[in-house]
Amino acid sequence: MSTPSPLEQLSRIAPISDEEAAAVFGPAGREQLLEAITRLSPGRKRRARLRHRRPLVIALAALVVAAATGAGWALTHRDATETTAVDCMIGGGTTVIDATSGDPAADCAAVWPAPVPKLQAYDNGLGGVAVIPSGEKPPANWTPIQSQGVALIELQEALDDNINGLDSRCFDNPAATTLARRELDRLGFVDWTVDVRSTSETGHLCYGGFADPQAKTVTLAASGDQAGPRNWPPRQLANSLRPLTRECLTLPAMTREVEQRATALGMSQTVEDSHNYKLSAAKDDTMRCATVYETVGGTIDVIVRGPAAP
Amino acid sequence: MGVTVAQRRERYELLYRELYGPISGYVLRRVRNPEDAAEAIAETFTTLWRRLDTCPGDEEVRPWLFGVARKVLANQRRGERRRSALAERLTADFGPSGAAGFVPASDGRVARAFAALSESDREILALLAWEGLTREELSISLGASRAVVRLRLHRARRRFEAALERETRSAAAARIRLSEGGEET
Repeated sequence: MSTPSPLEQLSRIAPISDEEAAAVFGPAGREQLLEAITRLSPGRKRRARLRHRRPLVIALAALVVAAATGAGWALTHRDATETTAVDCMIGGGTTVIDATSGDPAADCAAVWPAPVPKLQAYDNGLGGVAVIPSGEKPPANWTPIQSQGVALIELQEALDDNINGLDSRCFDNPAATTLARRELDRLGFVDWTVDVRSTSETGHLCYGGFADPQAKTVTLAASGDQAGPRNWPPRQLANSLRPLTRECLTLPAMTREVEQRATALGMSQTVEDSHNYKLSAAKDDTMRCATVYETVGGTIDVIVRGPAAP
Repeated sequence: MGVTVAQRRERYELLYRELYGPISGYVLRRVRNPEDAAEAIAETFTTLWRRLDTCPGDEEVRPWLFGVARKVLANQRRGERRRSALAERLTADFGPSGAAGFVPASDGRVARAFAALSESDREILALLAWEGLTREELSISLGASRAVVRLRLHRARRRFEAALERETRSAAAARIRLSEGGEET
């Protein structure tokens, strides 16, 4: 009998078959997820960033697991000021966006279809921030809030940044730790620690990181090389924007520069293709020079923050 | 003529029912934590719903959706999400790699050789051996040209064969030591 090929041997050690996997959450989990998703707004006009649709996805996942186990769980209460996402409840649907300015209502106003009503932000009691028209009655457990922590928002942006952050190239464990420590100190999180979640003695690993306000920790985890090939549009844009991070510009000047450089690369904020990007500008007159970050989720996000005038 | 809401939902339901098993399989072959798996499955199918009008044609949806799931899992591994305390606890129960990386059912020679590969090698080989993708589908799923896929696959196979060979030799050496009455270290 001939020895099976390496690929055949590999196929035999698959941890679970499709049929077994389909049964893990049971028919009820499968059907509840289908029902819940198809009730969502299709969201064809505006794409929220995939990876920040967390409250929605967690809620959907809870449905699936609860259906499978017969017992739901309550999401642990967390402080809404600790999230860096905002759930804009537009037209009965939910569009989760990145927080940028620290004013959730203002952030949602930027994506709300015209005419934009007066908006009010709330702590939704589940650790999330939701924004609805101020004329609408919120659920009983929601409490009004005015702001989110800008420093925390900027910390996560700095970690995710494709220009100079952990996504700009492959950072090994010591380099990632140094970068995270530097960003923590720069943004005033001096009592936070840096924690490395996974290490390996075999092979070279690249690290990404996320901020956990509850634990006051930036956790670094091996992530594979997220930098992408040289001609990858986000990489090209990041390379083009990098020189700007060494200049001291106002917010309008930085915004202009970003738009010009993106246009020169054939990128657009309106055409939804692989060259689509979204530019968010947040005024902060306490800053001397504008900052620019580029993060990549469902789309390429460029976030500019700085003073209106020198 | 535009697509009606009912037609859109009907198309989605068909795709969902066809792909629920393969996508659940893809996720659960890579993630042990049930909440992480449920989140990844939910997020993948939510993306399909949101992008139903712009996603590839029906024959290419499956590899495209594997690509979506791959990115969702990559984001999970990067920790770009707010974990619930329950997820943290479950992940801790499984150790530091609970939500990251492949979890072969066997701890044998093949599994060890596979585990020794880089993440990108494991992914392309698993898409081929576990998900059963063709070369063309690999290209769609990985968002790379066929030439790049061919090269990556060739290299990954070579490295896997070498790792398998090392494991085989190592196992044979251990057997010899045992048969000679030596102690395995």
